[in-house]
Amino acid sequence: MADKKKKNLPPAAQRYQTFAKHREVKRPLLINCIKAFLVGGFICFIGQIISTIYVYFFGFTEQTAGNPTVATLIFITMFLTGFGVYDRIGQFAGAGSTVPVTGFGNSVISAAIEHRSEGFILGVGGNMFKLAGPVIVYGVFSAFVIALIKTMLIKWGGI
Amino acid sequence: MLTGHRTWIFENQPVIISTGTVGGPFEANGNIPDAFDILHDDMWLKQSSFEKAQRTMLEEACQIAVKNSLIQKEHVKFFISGDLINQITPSSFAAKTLDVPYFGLFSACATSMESLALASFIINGNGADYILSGTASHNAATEKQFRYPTEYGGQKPPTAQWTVTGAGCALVAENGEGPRVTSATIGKVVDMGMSDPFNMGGAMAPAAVDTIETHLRERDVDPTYYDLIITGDLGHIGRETSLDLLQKKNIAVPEENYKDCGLTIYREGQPVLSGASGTASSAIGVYGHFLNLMEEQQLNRILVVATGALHSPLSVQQGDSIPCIAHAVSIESGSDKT
Amino acid sequence: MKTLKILLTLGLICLLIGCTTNNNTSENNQNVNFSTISANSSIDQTASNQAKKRLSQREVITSVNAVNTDKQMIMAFEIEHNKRFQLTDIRKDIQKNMNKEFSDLKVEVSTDKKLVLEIGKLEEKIDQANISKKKLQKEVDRLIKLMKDKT
Repeated sequence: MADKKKKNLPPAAQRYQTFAKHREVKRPLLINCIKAFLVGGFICFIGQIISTIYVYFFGFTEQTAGNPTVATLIFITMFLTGFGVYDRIGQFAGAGSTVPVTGFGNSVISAAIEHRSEGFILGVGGNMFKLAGPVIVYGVFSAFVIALIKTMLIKWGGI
Repeated sequence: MLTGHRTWIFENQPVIISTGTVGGPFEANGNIPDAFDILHDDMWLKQSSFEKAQRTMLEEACQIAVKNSLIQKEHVKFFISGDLINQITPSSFAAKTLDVPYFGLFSACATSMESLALASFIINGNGADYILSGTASHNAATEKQFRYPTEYGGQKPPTAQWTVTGAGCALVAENGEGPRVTSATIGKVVDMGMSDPFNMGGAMAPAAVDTIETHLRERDVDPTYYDLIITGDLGHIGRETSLDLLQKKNIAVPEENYKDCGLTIYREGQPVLSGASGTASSAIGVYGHFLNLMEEQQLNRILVVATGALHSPLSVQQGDSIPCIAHAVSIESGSDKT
Repeated sequence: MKTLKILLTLGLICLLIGCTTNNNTSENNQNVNFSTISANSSIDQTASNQAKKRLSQREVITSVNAVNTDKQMIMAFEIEHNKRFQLTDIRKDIQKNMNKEFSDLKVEVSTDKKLVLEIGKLEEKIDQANISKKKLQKEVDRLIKLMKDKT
C-alpha cells in the first residue's frame, strides 16, 4: 500500500523518501510487542480478579459477572485518565493498553474531558465518540453482516 | 532590495530593539529556563480553555517586548502574527487586546520568520517605524486540533515531536540599539511526498535545505559567514536528514554550527521524542536564547531558518502528503559595522 | 518484517496446540472432590449421590456437586484446566448422559464456578439437616434460574 502510493510520486520525491528512511528512528517492534503483551495481560489479570470477586462475594455467575467487571474496569480507567496517568501507560504499552476495554473507555473519557471547553451538548456530547465512533460503527456493522451470513447458512444451508 | 529570485537585502538594517518570551511548566523544566521573561506553572494560565491560554501568552509576550523597549504601545504601527490554531484565532484575539493594526499570517511553524521578514521589509521600506512580530503555540491546543485528545493513551512513535507551550515576540524598529536584521529569503513550498504527520522533521528537511541553499547563493556568502545556522524545529530526525542533504549538495555547513531550536529548548530526559516543535519553538529559541547569546557577544551573525509543515488533519485524512516551507532571516549584531 | 513472520508462526503454533481434541474417556479417576450426602438426612439424596459417583469415574472431572429434590436435580462440576477448551462439549455430553440415566428427574448441569459454590453450600446444609423441603425447593428453583441467566 505504501509502495503503491510511492509509485505515484515524481522520481525526486521517491529518491528523497528512500534517502530519508535511513535517518528515521524505527519503532522498536519486538520490545513494543513484549511491553504490550505484558501490560495487556496485566490488565486482563486485574479484570479476572475483579470478576472472581464478583462471583465469590456477590450474586453473579461467571457468565453474568462480565458486565459489572467491564463497568468496574472502565470506572478505574476514568480515574487513571482524569489524573493524567493513562496516557503515560499508553506511551509505554501501546496496543497493550489500547486494545482492552480500558482503552475504549480511555478514548471516550479523554475526548469528553478535552472538549468540555466547548460546552456540554456540542462539545462533550458531540465530540465524545470521536475516537470510539469507528469502533462502534464497524463493530455493529460486522455483527450485522455475520448475523446475515449465519441466517442465510442456517436457512438455506441446513447447518 | 531584491537580489536573485527571492532574497531581500535590508540596506537600512531594521533593529530588534526588544523581545518578550513566555513559557509553560514543561519549558520551565527544560534546557533554557533563562531564555524566558515569564514562566507559568500551569498549562491553563487560569483560563477556561487552552486556546485562551495561548492567546494570553501571546499578549504577555507582546506587552513585555513593548515594556522592555523605551517606547509606548501607541507607537507600534503594526502587529504581524500567526499561529497553528484554526483560523489563527489566538493571534486575532491578541491583536484585539493590543489594539494595533494587524496582519494575520499562516505558515505553520515557520510563521515567526515569515513575520520577521515582512516586518523588516516594511520598516526597511519606510512603511513603519515600529512593528511587533511574534507567535505563540500551546501543546494541548495543538494536540487537540492536529492529533488526539491530550489524555488519550495512544503511543507516539520516536519520530514525533512535542509542541512548545509558549510565545515569543520581537519589537522591530527603524532605529535603535540591538541586533540588526540584514536579509531574508522567502521559502517556496517543497513537497517530497512524505505523508506521516508523526514525522514532520523528515518532511521539513528538504524545505530547509532548499531555503538555505538559495539564501547562500543569492546573498553570495558561504556557510562560514554565519556563526550559527539555526533551524526552527527540525528535531533529531530532520536535523540529521538535512545535514545529509546539505552534504549531498556540497554545501559545507559545519555540524557544530548547525543548531536547531527544537533540540535546544528541552533537556535530555524530557519525553519529547524527536524534539520540540510549534510556532513558539523558533520564536523562543531565537528571541529568548540566541539573541541573548548575541547580546553577550558570543555570536555575531546568525541565519535563522524557521521550518513549517503545511498540512491539516483533514488533508492527511484525505490522503494528501505534507508540503513544507522554510523562511530564512539573517540577524547580525552589527558589531563589525559603524 | 522478519520479526512479524516469527511472531505469526509462534501464534499459529499456539493456536494449533490449543485446538487439539482428546477423546479419552478412561475410567478410574482417583482424585475427584465430592462428598456423598448421608442417607439419614431428611431429604433423599440417593439420586445425587449416584450421579456424583458416576461422574467421578470420568477422568476429566476434578470435582462434582449435586443436589436433588423429588422432581429435579442440579449438578455442577469442574474439569481439568487443560481440558477447558472442550468445556461446552463435555457439558453437553454429561447433560445427555444424565438425562438418559435419570429419566425420571429433570436434570440441569452446569460448569459455572458460582453454581459449584452454591450447590456445595446447599449440600452442606442438607447434610447438617439445616434446611426444610420447601426451602430446598426454593433454592433449587433459584439456582436453576441463575444457571439460565445469560447476562
